[in-house]
Amino acid sequence: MRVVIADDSVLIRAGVVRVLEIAGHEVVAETGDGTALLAAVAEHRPDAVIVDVRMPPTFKDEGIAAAVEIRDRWPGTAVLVLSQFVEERYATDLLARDTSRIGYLLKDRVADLDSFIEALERVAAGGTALDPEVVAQLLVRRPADPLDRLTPRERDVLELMAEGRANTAIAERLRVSESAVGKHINNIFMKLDLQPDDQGHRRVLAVLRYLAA
Amino acid sequence: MLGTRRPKISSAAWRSEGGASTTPAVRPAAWTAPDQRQYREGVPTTRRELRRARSADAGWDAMFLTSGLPLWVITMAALLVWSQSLHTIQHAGAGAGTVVRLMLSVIVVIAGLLLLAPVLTGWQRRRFQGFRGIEIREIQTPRLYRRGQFRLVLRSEALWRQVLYHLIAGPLIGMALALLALMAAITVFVAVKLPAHALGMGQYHRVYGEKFWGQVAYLLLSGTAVVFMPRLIRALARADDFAARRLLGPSETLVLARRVQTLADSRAAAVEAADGERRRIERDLHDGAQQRLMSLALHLGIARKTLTDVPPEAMSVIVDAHEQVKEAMAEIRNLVRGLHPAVLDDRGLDAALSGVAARSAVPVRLTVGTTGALSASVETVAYFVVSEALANVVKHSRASQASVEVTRQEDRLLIRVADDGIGGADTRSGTGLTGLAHRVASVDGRLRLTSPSGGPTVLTAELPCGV
Repeated sequence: MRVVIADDSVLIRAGVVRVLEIAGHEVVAETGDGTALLAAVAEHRPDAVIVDVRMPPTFKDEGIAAAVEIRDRWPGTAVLVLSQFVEERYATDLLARDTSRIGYLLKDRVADLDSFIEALERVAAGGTALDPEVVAQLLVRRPADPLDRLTPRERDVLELMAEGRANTAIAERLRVSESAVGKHINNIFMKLDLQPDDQGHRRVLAVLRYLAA
Repeated sequence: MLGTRRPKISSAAWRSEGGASTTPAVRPAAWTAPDQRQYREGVPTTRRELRRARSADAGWDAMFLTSGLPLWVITMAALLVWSQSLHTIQHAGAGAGTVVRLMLSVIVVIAGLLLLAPVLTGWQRRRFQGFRGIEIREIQTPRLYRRGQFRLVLRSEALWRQVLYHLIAGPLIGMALALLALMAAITVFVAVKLPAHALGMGQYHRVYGEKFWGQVAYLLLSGTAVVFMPRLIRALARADDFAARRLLGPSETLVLARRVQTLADSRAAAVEAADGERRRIERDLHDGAQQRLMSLALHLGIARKTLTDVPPEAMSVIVDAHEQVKEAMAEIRNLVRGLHPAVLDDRGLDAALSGVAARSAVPVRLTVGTTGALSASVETVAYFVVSEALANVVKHSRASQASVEVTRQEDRLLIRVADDGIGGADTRSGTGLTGLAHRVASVDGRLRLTSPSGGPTVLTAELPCGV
């Protein structure tokens, strides 16, 4: 496999090159910043790119920007982003287009040669490699179950909706006015984040959510 | 006091905080009278020395007071003339013309003083600096001669205080000084003439007899006053100090307002400096130790993989070293993450909090609302609050889960960290929480903690984020 490496630390670059050579891969270019990386990718059209996040000139998220651009311009090139820290927000940027041919790992993982090479090859083959720490970060943001937000009365209404009843029937059953049922239903839509486009469609989606819970 | 030759200037709080800062009484060499120098060497002990010291001091004070006379002379004259006119009006029932003239002259003098106050104050400031070593702070006052500043002048409390000094306080002190001088002069005159009277008494005693005894009585009285003259002069000099400090320098309110501003600025600078230092340490570790450890781990990894013919004991050492260096890397990473994560600068608070929440050993649910634009210092404090609070949850709460909510309410950022642990947390006992309270206070925020025994613990921080 032909690989291009971008990292502003010569020390680490040299280490990664050695690891790749041991695994039998060819490093066709080494660069120290994002712009040089894009030029090298344009020139060599590698199978995979290994890129650091913090690079000159700003030492912020150069690597992420370069990775996103490579994925846009050369979708066939696998990109493995390495960093001293992983950030869920960077991962979201990287995965925004699609989840194939992309990897985002802590630099520490390179020290475990076998699993690192395995991750690189998986990404090059079209797969994904996400660091467990990124996954943990994504998980702390899982939203609360939207059904928990419904009041008991709204739950009753939703239950009856799931049984396939129309608003009139629901109003009759719950001994409330039809307009009250309409209000409850609107609240349910709001709480389940269902956008007001097609009434019937929203109704089905709400019921599906209820059944899935 | 006498050893240092100058009365020590007491440093009441409002003064030392900028009203009129007192510098050690250093006078230009030209002002130091030769006979005063000797007293610098030793503290006078005998009664005689004490008396000499006191009178030398009084001489200096008298010089100081006299130096004010040229500045007061016009207003002193004005005061005298006014008191005469008032007297006339009261007793002779003078016509409306006199009253109008008096009013007009008062207005003219006050207007003149308002116009000249900055210049006069400047002279007085130099006089106090030169003679007394007292620094009276300069304050900006509106100028009467500038366009559109008329109203400002009338409303300028500082300017009116200065007028009060130049018109009343200073001249009164000047008059008192003149009175003392007159009294001393008469005393000397009478003392010189008295023996002649006594000698010629036989000749004149029918005419001057009564006058003679009157003069003796006067001499006794004024003699006593002359004995106390040094003290009187000193009291006058102090009165002048006091009046000048109060009336020529910035008012107490102004001083306090400035002080508050200075403190707020310096605190903000200190907070900023601390944040900057954290950033620098983070960057240094990232570029230095972390890279080295990384390289070391890589090479140990390579050794572990490629060295096939080493003895098993050697290999176990390599394996150990490899595992340890990886742990060290994780530790440094956690440490640096707690300092100041780069992502906080890049992507803001919301993004940075994911890392803290994910790193916590107690499972955390994180909810961040729309926070809008936040200043770097508020973001840093908010990050620190969450990071520290979660560290406390892990260490002390025995909680099974925690939640972090960050929301913006108008001009405040609300941070709520709750856990389902055993409670009993206290901002006073836990060092982590104390540090947290200080950090929140550094941006004028508020920290509240409810943690009944048995839980749950809820920590709320309110950070003002007005610009």
